[in-house]
Amino acid sequence: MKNLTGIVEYEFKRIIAKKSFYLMVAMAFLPIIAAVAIKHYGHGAGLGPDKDYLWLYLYGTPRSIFGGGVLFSVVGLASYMWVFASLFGGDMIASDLRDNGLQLLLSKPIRRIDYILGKTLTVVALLYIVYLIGSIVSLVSGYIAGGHQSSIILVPLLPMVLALASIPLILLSAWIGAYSGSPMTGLLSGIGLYFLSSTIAGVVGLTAGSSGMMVRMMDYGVIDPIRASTQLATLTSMYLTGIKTMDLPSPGGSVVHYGISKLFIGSWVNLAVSSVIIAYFLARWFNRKSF
Amino acid sequence: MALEVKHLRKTYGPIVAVDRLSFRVEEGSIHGLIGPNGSGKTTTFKSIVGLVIPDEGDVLLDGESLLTPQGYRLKSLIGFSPETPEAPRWLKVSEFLYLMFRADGMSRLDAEEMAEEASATFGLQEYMDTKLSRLSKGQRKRVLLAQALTPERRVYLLDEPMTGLDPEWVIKVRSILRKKAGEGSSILVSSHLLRELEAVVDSLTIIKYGVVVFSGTREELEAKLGPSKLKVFIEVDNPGLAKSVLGNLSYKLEEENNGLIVEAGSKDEVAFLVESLVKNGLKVYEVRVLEIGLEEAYMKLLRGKN
Repeated sequence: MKNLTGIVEYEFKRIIAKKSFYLMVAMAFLPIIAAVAIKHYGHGAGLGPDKDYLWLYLYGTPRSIFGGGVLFSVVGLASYMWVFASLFGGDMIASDLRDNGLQLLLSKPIRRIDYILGKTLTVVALLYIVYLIGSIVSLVSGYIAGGHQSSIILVPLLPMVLALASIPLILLSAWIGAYSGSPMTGLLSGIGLYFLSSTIAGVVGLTAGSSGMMVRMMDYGVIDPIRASTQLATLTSMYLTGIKTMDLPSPGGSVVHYGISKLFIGSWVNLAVSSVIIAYFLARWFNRKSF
Repeated sequence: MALEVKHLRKTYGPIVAVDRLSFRVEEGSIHGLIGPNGSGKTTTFKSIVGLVIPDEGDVLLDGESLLTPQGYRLKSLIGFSPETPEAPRWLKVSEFLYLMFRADGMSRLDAEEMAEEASATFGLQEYMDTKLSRLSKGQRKRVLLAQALTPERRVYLLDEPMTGLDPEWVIKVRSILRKKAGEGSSILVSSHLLRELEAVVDSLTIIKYGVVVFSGTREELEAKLGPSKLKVFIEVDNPGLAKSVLGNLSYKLEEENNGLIVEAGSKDEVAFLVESLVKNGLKVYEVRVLEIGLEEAYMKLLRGKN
């Protein structure tokens, strides 16, 4: 346990020594600029339900389902969660490989599994802190742009969901980064996986025809861990605030009423199972690797 | 605490890095692992500390295997300094030492104290607030040695510890190693140059292409290869006369600059040579040993095993 704490301290120090960490924290403050712009240059203009497809593609969340109530809490965070997860996952192992840190740490009385566990826990904990900052900023932004914000309970909760939901992307980026020996490859692969996942979800949605498109896209999160991670914040928020159905608008103008319980449970199960599977294969590969 | 490497074998695809390598480092002794570049020294070190997974063989610490799932606990008794003088450049020296000791399982307070102590031993106090990226290779090497050579360890594994160090620190490190061995620690130290280690090792294993070509004490190596020769450069006022004097004594000679290179069997013989030259009216300006005996024996051994 003492040795695990040592790894956690090492990883914490490594991340906070990076300039990109502070860039990410700075990004968490961006919603304030958006909120001020909305307040002064046309409240609601250009952010209405007609843009739901764009929101869904990028964030896994049709914006209109919240009616603006917790808009910033969700969108403000999800918009950079995948970048952050890929960035710090990508160089979690790869940077240690490059600067001899891995050799030094693994020569200590530390199991390889503890090395991965300690590093992953640290990244998840730091993600939670940054998301929490983002969530508080988003709440303030919500007040600026739209006045009263409902469901303040979500402010500490959503960052937790997002941090946990980042695990598959962190592990995959870490694996690819370590395999290639390049933190940049890890980062780009993580971002690539995110866009691939979103694109597949879009294609899957299109096959259902216009009225069922969004339903299919949301359904896809039950089988794709990356998709699940981007829509879990939305689903969890809805579930905890008592929203039982989604009204999903289709391109034809009709509205689909969709029950979320099944989707909520399915996405969480998918996330948990995928995380365990990815972690298992990463640990297996890492345990057999010579450095 | 004795360290024993038994029948270690590691291949990388078709390349055999280490082939059934066996040797033993006795408690309280310094054992040299010597071989040319690419002979498998670093693979051996990495296999011992678990960075490389060997295909076959075992590594034992007082009879207990380091390669079992529980073997990682024994690594708290081992101090390891890797070959390359690279370390996380984003850390200050004080942070690096502290984090390495934390990874060893020390409490925060102990790790801080140990970092202070280690920095004092290796002359790093003035660099404690300096980032590793700003240190020279030699200074980084000292930092790596500082995190490895702490008192609570019983076994030290030092891969090419002298590389990059200036002569003053080579001597200091040798003295630290002798002190540790005197206190009962077992030390495995590597080099591709025998002369770097000759002064400090009690026993040695010479490897080439991953295969042991010799393992034993210095005396055993000398006995195996016959008496070794010292190559000595002697600068005199009249090299021609010196050549004639020593030639009459049946010495093998080479002329160089204002002097001669002579092969002698021992230091006593070097004294005899100088005395002979002086007796014949020659002025001796300089006497310098060019090659130390075991180095030549080592080279002979390597050449013979091609």
